[in-house]
Amino acid sequence: MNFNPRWLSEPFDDVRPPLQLQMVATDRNVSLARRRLRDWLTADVSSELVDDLVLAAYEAMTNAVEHGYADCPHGPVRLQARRSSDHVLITVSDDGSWRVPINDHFRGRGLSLIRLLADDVHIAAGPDGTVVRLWAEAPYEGLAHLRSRPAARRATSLGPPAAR
Amino acid sequence: MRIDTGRVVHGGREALVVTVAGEIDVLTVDRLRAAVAAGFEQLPDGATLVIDMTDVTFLGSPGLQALVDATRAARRRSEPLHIAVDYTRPVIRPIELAGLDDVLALFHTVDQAVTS
Repeated sequence: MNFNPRWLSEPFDDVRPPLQLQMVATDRNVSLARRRLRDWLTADVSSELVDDLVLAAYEAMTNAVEHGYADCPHGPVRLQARRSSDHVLITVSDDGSWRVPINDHFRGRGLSLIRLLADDVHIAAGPDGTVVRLWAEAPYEGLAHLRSRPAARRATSLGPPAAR
Repeated sequence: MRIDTGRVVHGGREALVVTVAGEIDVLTVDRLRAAVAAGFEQLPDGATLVIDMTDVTFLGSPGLQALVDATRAARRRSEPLHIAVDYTRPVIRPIELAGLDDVLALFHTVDQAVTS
């Protein structure tokens, strides 16, 4: 059974537009998506966390290609990445019947890597598809700059805020 | 991914070094497997096969499995397979998380991998 973590139902306040990709499930598309994700994350995420999340998302997408569509290849795989002031949420979803092969060490390794690379992982697998959510703590340093600039402008035009 | 193989002599020891640079994923892993297999075939008596991973920028589970399989093949052949990783985080991080740092023969530099 999959325990539903609290972050799954809490609102997510994006600080910049999410990355949204939909692709046909092929190894080549997954590699291209991995590079797009790296570029998107690099804007304001530490390089160590970028490496970890790119690897985790790659493993999830590769699982979708290899196991989600074992019976009907080339179905859709979707990748979404969102950024809040303190977290990154990455969602990989497909419409196939994703399963974790017990006797396949290689893919089993991929799944255990996913669990170790993100702070929390939620996998919802059903007959109509699978959604893998990766949740990671990531302080957003860009926000400090965004906040301080308008505040400074306000201070010069309106004077200091009234004392309470 | 770029990959090439060359002979190296260092500290009186001989090695065949497979140098890999770039991303190792599902698309490229077969070239790594082929280069390692060819390396075993060409390996002179008493020499060490070295995989230089210090310029690898991405290593996913397909690449990890290739390294495990290469290490098993080396053990079966009773030939040494050493892997140079230096402090390359995109390589060391997945190896450690997968618990393979005890399974693979890891070295910081190619020179250490050749002479050890």
